[in-house]
Amino acid sequence: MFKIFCSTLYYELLLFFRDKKAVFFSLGFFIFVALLFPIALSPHPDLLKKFAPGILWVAALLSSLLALENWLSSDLEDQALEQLLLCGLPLPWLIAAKMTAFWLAAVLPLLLATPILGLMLHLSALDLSVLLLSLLAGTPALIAIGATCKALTFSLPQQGTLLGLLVLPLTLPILIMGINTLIESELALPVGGNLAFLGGLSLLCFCLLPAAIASALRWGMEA
Amino acid sequence: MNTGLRARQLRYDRNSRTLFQGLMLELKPGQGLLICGPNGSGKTSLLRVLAGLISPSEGCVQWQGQNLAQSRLTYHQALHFLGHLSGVKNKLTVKENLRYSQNLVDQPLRETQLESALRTLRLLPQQDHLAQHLSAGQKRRLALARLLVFPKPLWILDEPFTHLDPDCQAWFVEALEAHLQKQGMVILASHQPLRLKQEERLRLLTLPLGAESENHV
Repeated sequence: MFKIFCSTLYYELLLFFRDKKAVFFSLGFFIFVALLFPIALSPHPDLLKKFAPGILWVAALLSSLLALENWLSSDLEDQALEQLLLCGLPLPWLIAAKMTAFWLAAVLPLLLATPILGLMLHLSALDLSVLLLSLLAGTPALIAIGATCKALTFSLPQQGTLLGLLVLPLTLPILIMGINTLIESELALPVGGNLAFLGGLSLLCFCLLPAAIASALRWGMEA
Repeated sequence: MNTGLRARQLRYDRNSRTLFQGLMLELKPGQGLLICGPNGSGKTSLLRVLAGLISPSEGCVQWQGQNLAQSRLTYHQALHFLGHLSGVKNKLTVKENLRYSQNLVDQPLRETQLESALRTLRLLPQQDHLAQHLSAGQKRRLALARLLVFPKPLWILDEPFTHLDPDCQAWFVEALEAHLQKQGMVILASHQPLRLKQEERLRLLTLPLGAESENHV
């Protein structure tokens, strides 16, 4: 089973690598959203430092939402999704591999760009590392919840807006936890518990939601 | 032991229109079924129901005497399903496409096997080209290559002859015959008449437009 997981992961990453627009669109969006705030609000260092965690978390949430909209769409176009559903392997494993590949290809680049944006927003090194850890622990849960919503809506027309309306409320708790981590770090409180909670939530989502996604996909085929 | 595929009293409604109803069907090893009918008569829907991709509004499909709901994984391990577009990945090369399918089929595939299949299908010169640069017929052949390199007992094919040139069509009919000879099973939907050397192996099911009649095969 692990072998199938790994080879599916490999091919999914290869497909992302060949089709670079998915990666660069969300990365570009992330950077521009983060750039808009200093321009729109005020370039004052104290103000930016205060808002930076929120800005970066919201930017990461929105750009992963943007990338999610295209998730599965090429599989739908070339009917590879049907081959997945009919391949006789446990579908949740394949879905988990696809989600992992999606996180690695679409979200990891955002995390890599975060230090540069953090410097621009006058974050201190300590705050930056806490921010990175909170994003690292929290974004897999964002992706898993988003992917579930995508699987529920993939057969509907004009699903883009609906996807946003579904995903954003469901991911609010993660956003709050993530930003809360930063606030506590600024007050010199321990942040381990918060990070562990986010990480645990991500792990739970990655373990349970692939099964839900598999059912949603089978159900969506009927429509 | 009951082997093969059987469907009982199948009915399928789409947009509150009945596409077919009371459909009985039995397929034993070494038998083929050709489904004909005008556009919109429900050929593709019937194939999708038989493949277990969608569930019928009424009735059931059985594989080896078991309902699909219970034997889904074993059934799908024994099944090749080829739709209109057949899941060829545009951003993978010809070879990578077959390797990708191999991953999903979970059967071994040696390099020599792969090359001989590509040679038979005249795809060897394009083996390292991205599938998006192939012509429609070449893509179709790439999809059919899966049937050759990963042996499975049941093939369900939707319009397998589209985009194929006459040579390839003849070659594919031979492949079908060989598959039936080896006690394989085939269900295919096609607008094209199909002539096999052993005609008794192939039966015909014609779906009428607006299915009030009942079909038994």
